[in-house]
This record gives sequence, structure tokens and C-alpha cells, in this order.
Amino acid sequence: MLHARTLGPLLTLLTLTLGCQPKGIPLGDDTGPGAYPATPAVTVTGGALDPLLGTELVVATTSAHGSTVRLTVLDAAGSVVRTLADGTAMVETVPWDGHDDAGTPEPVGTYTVEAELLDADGAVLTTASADAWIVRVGVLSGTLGGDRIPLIWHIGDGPGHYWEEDAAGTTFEISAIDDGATATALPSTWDDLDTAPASHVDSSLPAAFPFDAVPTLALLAAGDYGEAPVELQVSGWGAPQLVNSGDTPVFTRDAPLAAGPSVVEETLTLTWSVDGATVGVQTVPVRIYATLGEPGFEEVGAPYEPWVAAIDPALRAITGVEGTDEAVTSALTEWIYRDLGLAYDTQYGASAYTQYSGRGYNEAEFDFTGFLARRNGSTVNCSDCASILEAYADMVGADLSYTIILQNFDLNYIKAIGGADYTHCPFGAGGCGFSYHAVTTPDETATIYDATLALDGDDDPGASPFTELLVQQISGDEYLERLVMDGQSSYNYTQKETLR
Amino acid sequence: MIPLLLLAPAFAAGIHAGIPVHQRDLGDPAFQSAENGWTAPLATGDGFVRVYVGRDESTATDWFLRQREGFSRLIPDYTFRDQAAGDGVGVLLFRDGNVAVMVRSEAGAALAIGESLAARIVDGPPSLSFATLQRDESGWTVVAPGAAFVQTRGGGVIQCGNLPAGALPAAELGPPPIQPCGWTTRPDDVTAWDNYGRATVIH
Repeated sequence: MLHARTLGPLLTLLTLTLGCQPKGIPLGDDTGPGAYPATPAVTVTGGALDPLLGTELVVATTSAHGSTVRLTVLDAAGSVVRTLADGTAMVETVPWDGHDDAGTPEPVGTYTVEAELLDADGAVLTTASADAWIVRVGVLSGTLGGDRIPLIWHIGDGPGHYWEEDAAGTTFEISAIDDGATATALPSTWDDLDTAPASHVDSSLPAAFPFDAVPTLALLAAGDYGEAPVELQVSGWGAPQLVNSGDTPVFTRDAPLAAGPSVVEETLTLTWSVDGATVGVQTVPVRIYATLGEPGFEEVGAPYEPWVAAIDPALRAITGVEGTDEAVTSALTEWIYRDLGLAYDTQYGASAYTQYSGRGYNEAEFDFTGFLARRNGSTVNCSDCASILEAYADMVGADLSYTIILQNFDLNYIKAIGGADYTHCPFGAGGCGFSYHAVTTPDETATIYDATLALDGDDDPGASPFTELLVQQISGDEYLERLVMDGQSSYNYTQKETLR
Repeated sequence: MIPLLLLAPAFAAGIHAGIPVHQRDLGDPAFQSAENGWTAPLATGDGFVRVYVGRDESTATDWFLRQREGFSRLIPDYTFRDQAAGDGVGVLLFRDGNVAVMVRSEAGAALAIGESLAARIVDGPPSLSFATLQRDESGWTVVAPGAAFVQTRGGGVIQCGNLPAGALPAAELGPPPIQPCGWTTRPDDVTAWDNYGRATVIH
């Protein structure tokens, strides 16, 4: 049973005070907590309760010195259903659990709490009363809205297995607010990044928005409120709203989602109240991917949407960076280069996940599904690294394209992904050049990002010592100067990749 | 008695149906596109194969050349079947008629794996039109009996019975039994592969 003190902060009590000064009753000491009031008086406080949410109505009364209190609950017909106190001196608070004197739950409805102040002979000196309600409250579903970006799950092993989220679809849902005996808990977050749940029911699904968006939350209210003026509030999502069962109030977040691209994991706190008194509190966790903006792909629809399994780790990796294309792409470049456990194929420079469907190096086709599962291992080449960087960047809302540097040129010193040392012969003796090299660009090769290798950033990129320079927002001209020791080199086949 | 050989359909020399996509020494096949065929990791986990079945030798040769260009380091010619490149150790890229294969083996077994796959090439017609798009009152459905995998792009998707409310399959959920999905509007493309890796595309 909840003690009044634990519920105290939750309750804003409706108070009705009636007082009188009967003869023969000495005045008491009215200083200090728990003291009798100087004036014989009775005060009773009403409110509301939802027995399935575990709340109780706390009825507060006071009485004067020498008097006693009888405290009862009456139903709408005026019949006493519960006697909370009878002839009790100095009643301060009494909880009511919504049951009658026989322990049977009372139905949803409007009740009256009545306090009678009795003298020493049991005569009623005065009375006070207040309304009380039993309600059953809850939400059946919640839908995040606004500038929501559709997510997809990529399921199974094969390309082409997608579950595309309906961007207007529910974020969480339960089949019923209770089973008649207990309240149904709101769902926990769906944590499997690879596979969508078998049902929205009993799952809180992730959603995606631009980081500076102000999402809305539509809640489907359910339950039985009787005639009680029920209000619902979501902490941090605007003011309380008066609701009826079946309504779909829409709440707007008080602030933009995040300061930059990140994963926002928060608990929505839903507070039900009647006349300002809290009836119950429900919580539901949500995971929101705060992206830079709409995906950078040219094509729309699956698979050219953020994949849950891709943006979750990517956004966590770049949390804290500024919300600009440059900062995000630079951070992703470093993340791929340093943290994904990839290593350059120093034997052959073979691609593991990228193929070209068209003539030359046109129509780069990236098996992102296979990459996420590392089906072909973690040994990659430049085509793979460019594909990986473009895919992640485009999914979190930056805009990158693929471009190919041709052809058969010798290298200055580089440190290939997964490598420990600088070399200008990544394939060993006799292998001191690239037949081609794939990189990414946001602006038709004016600027280059490359997760395959780090350049030597000092004044002489063709000799030691070496100063590590990650290829983050480097001009296209400078990139070629630092990369190429000898041979013709130029950018070709700038394109958007195809995802599988 | 008529020799059985005479009853078998005649195909041009070097024209094959493909290679069975399910092999004990390979992982599950992943179907990429009609232009790039299918891939599978080695069951040993130290490499992978790419297999392409072209409609003729010319398309397989194009694939062979594209694959070869995909190496950042030039790989040498190799002698194997109709056309080959690599060293037979870590890499073997070869073509046999309209079938082309790339093997990448970190264990240095590229030639052995290539020989094994080449021995499993099955003769037959290079393509089958076994997938169709059919329309009825409720919309469009893909009918591809015996397909190893069906992939679609575009179209207004009808929710599958076993998918979450609001979670729509953007592409058909192969392998068979194919999920009872449909489309309210016609998919832009349908690609179906059979068990020999032959692809049929409906645009």
C-alpha cells in the first residue's frame, strides 16, 4: 500500500474547508505539524484514482481538539460504500483504494468523500465533502510525427529483403490497456537492429527525424473516465490536455530533438490527472535517430532510406559533431578508417562488396547487406571503402557521391586502412601503385573524402617523416598531389552507388 | 533404340545453365543483380565467390572484364578454361562460355575452388522466363515457381500477412515459399533467379 507521503508529490489536492466554533471545545495549540487547529474545523480533500495503475486516493482531514471525525465515501446514489474513519480523533490522511467495506472494487464513476466533525457526544458539528472519481486510464498507441524519415530494416542475408517502415505508422502499440485485473505496461524498446518485430504490438519501434526537428506525439487515449475531467501530459511535450477516451491528442516536443546528429534515447512520461491531482503515471521508452536530414540518395524508397542497422552505430559514433555535412562526413570517414576493423587487401586490392554493373567503373553496386554481416570478410579495397562511406553518409543525411581516379599511377606514401605503417608500395615490392582508386565527393570532386587511406600531410608526401592526414574535406587537387607520385590521374565516373 | 543423347536439347558450345547456387562448401547465396549474379562466402570463412550466368559468351566476357578492372592492383592473365586471370592462389577469375566466376581465397586455394566450381557447371539454356507479373482485382503479384530468389523494386506494396502493421516489404521476401505479398501498383522491376543462378528480369 502506498503511503500518503509517497503519493504526496503526485497529488495536487482539491480542498474544501468548512469551519465553525462550537461552544465548550477548548482551543488547542495550532502550531507545528500534526497539531490540532485552533478552530474546530474539518477539511476533506477529494481527487481521483485508477486502481489498476496502483494509485490510491488520499483523503486528508483535520479536526479540532476534543472532536472526532467520521469519514465516508458515497456513491452517486448517495449510499455509503466505504467508511474510512469513524470516531477517530485528529485524522490527517486516510487512503482509499477504491474498494467498498467488503473489499470489493467499486466501478468507475463519481463518488463523494464526506467528513463529519463530531462532538464528544457524537453529534455532528459540521461536515465537509469533496468529489472523488474512480477512472481507468491508458493509451493504446503512440505515433511520432512531424518530419519523420522512414526507416527500413534489412532482414535476412540476401539483398532485397527489406521491411520498410510506414513513416506514418505507430511507434508503439498495445492491444488493450488492461486485462481486467492489471494495467498493461507500455512496450519496451525494440533493440534488434537487424530484424523488425513480428508485430508493432508490444514493441516501441525506433523512429528517425532531422536532428533539429520538433516531433509530435499522437497518443490514442483509452479507458473509462466516467465524468471525470481527465488530463494527459507528456513531460517535455507541452501542456496537459483534457482528453476523452478515444481521443487522439497530439503533443509537440518542447525543444528540437538534439543539438546534432545522434541517437536520442529517452523515456516518455505520461501523467494522467484529474483536476490537477495525479491519477497515474505511465512511461514508455523511445529511441529516435536524429539524423542530419533527409537521406542523401538520389533514389527514394527502399533500400535508399536509413537502415536501422546502419544508422544506429553510425550516429552513435558521430554523436557530438556539428550538424553540418562537412563535420558529419569527416567524422564518418575517421570512424570507418579507424574503428570498423577493416583492412586493405594488400595482396590484390580486390573488392569484397562492390561490383560495377556498367562499362568502365559505372554503376557501382554495393552489397551493403553483405558488408554489414561481413559475409565476405573484413579485407576490402578502395571501392568498398568508398561504397561504405557513401552509404553511411547518405543514410545519415549527408550527400556523397562516388568517383574514380584513373589510371595506373604510382603512389606517394600512404597508410592503408587497417595498416600500421606508411608505405608507397601497398602491395609490396613491385606493387607501388593503383590501377584505379575510388573515393567520395560531395561536390563533383572539388572536395574529397577517403576512408581507404591516410595521406602524408607534411610538405613532402613522397618521403619520410610522415604526418598522418585523414582524407576529410581535402580539395580534389590537393588530394591528387599528395596521393600520386607519378603518372596521369584524374577523376572519372562520378556517380551515386546502387545499394543491395 | 534411340540414344538418350539425341533426346537431350542441343545447346551451343559453351552455353550453360549455370552452377547450382546451394553448395555444401559455400554459404548461402546472396543475389545481387541480373548484371552481377550471385555471391557466396566460402564455408571455411576465408574467402568468397562471385558467379555470373550470362545469356551468351559476350555478356559473360563483359562481366569478366569488369571484375578484373575492380582490382586496385592489376592481376595477370591465367590459363584456365576459356579465359582467366589471377594467380590461382588468392584469386582466380575465369570464364567458361557464358558462365564466369571469381574466387577470392585467403587460404590460397583459389585454383582448387575454381576447379571445383567449374566441374559443377551444368549445361542447359542460359535463361528462363519463369517469372511473371500477374494482375487481378486486388493488384499485382509475382509468380515465380521454383525461384531461388525474387527481388522487386518499386510498386505500391500490399502488406504481407506476417509483417508488422505499418512495416511494408519493399522487396519480395524470397527464398520460397514466396511470401503472399502483392502490389497495388506495378513494381518497376522484378528479378528472379533460379537454382542455377539464371536471372530473369521483368521491366
